[in-house]
Amino acid sequence: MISISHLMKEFTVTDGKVAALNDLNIEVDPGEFFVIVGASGSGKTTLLRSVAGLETPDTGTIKIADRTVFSNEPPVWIPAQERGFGMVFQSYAVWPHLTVYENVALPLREGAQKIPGNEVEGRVKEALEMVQLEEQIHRPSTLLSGGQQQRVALARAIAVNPSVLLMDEPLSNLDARLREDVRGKIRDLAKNLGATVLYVTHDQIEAMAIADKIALMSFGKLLQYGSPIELYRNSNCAEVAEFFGTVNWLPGELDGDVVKTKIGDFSASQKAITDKNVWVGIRPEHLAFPEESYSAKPNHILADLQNSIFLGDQYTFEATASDSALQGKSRSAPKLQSDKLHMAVDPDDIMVFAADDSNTTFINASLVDK
Amino acid sequence: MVLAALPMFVIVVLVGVLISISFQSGIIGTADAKFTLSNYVDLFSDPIIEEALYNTIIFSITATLVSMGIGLPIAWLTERTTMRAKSAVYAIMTLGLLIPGIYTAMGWTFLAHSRIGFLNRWAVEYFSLSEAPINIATPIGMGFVQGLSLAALAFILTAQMFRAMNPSLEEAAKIHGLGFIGTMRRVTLPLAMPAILAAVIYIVVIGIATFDVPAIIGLANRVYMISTYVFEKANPGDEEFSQHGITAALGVIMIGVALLLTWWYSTVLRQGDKYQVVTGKGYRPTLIDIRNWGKVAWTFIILYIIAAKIIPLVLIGYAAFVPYLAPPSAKMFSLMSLDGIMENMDWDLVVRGLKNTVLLVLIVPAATLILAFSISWLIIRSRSRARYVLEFGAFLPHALPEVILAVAAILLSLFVLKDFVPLYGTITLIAVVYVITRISFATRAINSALLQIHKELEEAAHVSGLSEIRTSWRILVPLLRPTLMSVWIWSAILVYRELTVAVFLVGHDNITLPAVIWSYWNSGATNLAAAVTLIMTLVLTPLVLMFWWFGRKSMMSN
Repeated sequence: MISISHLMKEFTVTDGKVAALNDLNIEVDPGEFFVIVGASGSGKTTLLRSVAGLETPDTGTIKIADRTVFSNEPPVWIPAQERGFGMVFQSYAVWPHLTVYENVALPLREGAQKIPGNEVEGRVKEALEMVQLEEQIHRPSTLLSGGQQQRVALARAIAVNPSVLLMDEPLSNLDARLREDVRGKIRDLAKNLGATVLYVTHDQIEAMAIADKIALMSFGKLLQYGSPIELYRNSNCAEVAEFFGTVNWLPGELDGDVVKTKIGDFSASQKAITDKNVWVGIRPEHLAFPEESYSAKPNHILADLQNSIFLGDQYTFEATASDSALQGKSRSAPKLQSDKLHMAVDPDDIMVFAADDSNTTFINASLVDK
Repeated sequence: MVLAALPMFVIVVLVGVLISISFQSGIIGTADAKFTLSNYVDLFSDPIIEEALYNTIIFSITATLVSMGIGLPIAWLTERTTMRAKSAVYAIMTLGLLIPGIYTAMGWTFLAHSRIGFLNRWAVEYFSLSEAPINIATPIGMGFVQGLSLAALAFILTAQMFRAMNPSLEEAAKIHGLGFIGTMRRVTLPLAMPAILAAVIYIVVIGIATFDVPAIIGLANRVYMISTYVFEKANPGDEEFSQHGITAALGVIMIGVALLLTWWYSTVLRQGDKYQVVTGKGYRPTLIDIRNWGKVAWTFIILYIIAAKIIPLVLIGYAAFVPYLAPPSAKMFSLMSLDGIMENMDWDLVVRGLKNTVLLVLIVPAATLILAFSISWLIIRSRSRARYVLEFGAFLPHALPEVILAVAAILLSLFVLKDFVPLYGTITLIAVVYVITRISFATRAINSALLQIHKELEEAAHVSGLSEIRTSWRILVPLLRPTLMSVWIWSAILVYRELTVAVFLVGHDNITLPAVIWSYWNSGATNLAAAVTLIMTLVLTPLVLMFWWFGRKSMMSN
């Protein structure tokens, strides 16, 4: 549905140029809920705005359902108003001088589609019913709460029956409780309409909760894209693993089938790495407490418990093994055997990444901090 | 783009002509002209320039002290105390801003001129003085009158500052044990200082270049300021030639000084921004309870209104109907009639002036709005580098004294364009200069309004399929309407009452109503000048009421 290839865009800043989009290639299937996630400055909003037609990339192509909307060779540029999308903005961009009804009706009446006048009212009502705002239909939009404005923006975007629905951090201005409620509703609505959605957020939990597929961007580059499970369990680099949750990082050396670290040897089920120096990554929830007592087998760790906190549904704890700090999460309380904490990690849950990868510099920085 | 670049182009041409002519002697504007520094030498060896410079400095200082002395306390009282009827203060001060300086100047001439001034005549009579005690036709006297008419501006400039100031900074001082005086001295005033200094510089710049008050009061008494000196050099009377080289040289120096002061002004303003602490929405500053002092405060405000606005207006009305100027008395009231006006007034002239003025009011504000809107849109919304140039270009006329723009326009039309386009003495020339002088204000107003409009509101319209023009028409114009309306009316009023550029540029055909007042006043026909002023006021009143009404509406919608 959306096909992006070799997309590049540079911005000129005070000390040179910054690549906001660096050779991006993405395929979004029809009806897919596709989330672009990344820290601020990663280029995710620039990507969305380029698809919308609000930003002009330097090179590459963007195709929507086989219709080229941007290309530098041969030069093609379809302006935003002719692309026929719906978009929900971070600020909602609900026109303050118009009522709820007029906000939804204006694009229908004066947009590129030019819906016949007698159909407009029905379309507006239908859209407002979908977001449960039909009772506010004639209110001035400035009298609405943040959540209601957000729904007006959504109704306006879906009223034009767009082929593609674009959303730029639509939940970031809502308070935390409302956010969880609304994100489920947005997903349901999009699925009912069968719309292809391109959704930008900086929140990895929101991304995992709502997406069919996630693309993680960093400094203009696409690090990885795939289903939430793929990105979490089979991260293709340390940065992706770190983005989707806390990771305990340990420097190690590859020796045959095992990685030697100072807290013990680890063997991983899948590692496509031949480099000698590697980083081993273990997520807190994968530190398990085995029944048998500690012996120097691969994947077993002997540690000193520093503290343990009961949070109701789980325990979090901190432990040290040979001066390395480890963070853990468990359903049951960490139990000690003769003052020591015995832990084991499933080989499926061990992540191994090459250490000379430029993407791992942040690990060094975070270890120094500790 | 072309629209936006147009005013910029005109300004560059005007300044270029001014600089080039300041270095020419002989037959200016032809191939025979010689490059020379003699204009600058002549300027500095003229004894009158030294006096004019001295007068201008005294005048500006007095005007600044008087206007800040009145405006600053009223601003503080209105924004930070429990004084009553604050919206009335705003209404009065805004109206005060709209009443032209020439009204105050004429009124105070009737009141305190050394020969005809009523106060002087009464004082001499009742206290048997040998000479008049007050002379308004001195730099200090004129500075006082200018200060009265600038006080409203000083109020507006400083009231904004008091409103923007974060009250929690003062509250922090109080909680940590500082009293009212201590808080004022250690926190409020230091925080307010950059804004006060900026207002002072702004008013000094106006004071240095202002023409109308020094012209109305000072010219007939041969007390020169820089601006009236320029006028004398450009219009020296019948027996002498205009010394355009010297006015151009003075203009170049004035542009230099004005740019320097404006640069200082913007530096100070930026310093003030540093102090601005971000405040949450909808905070209410704690107001200082002034209890019974409220009455004193209101007396002060009312006295100011009487001195600056009411007395001048009443005296102008009086002067229009009496056959000769004498202090009001039973005898004078019995002599009042319309005869003097009917017999001596050149109605052709007045009608011509009114026609031209109405034409200007119809054309100039509309042209200004269209140009300023294009400039603002490019400055705020475009990413092109041209926006920096445009921003500076739109700001420039604000720094250039109107007197100098007028002189440059004369020079341009007389020496450069004379063979191609006969602009000299036409209404077009006046209109062009008016648009240039108004463009800074209009651009700044639209800039700040446009900044308030989130860019995504426009983008939402684009993505929904609305074209550029439809987006402007359906989204931007409605959202900007209060600003566009008030800029339009404000420009219309300023064009209507304009006297500086007009005095330099008018001739027989393109005379404006204020210039008619000026020519009667200058020839000593004070009753006719007063009568035309009354006619002008009758037409002005509905405009002012409109401004007030729209101003209130836009204030309420904010």
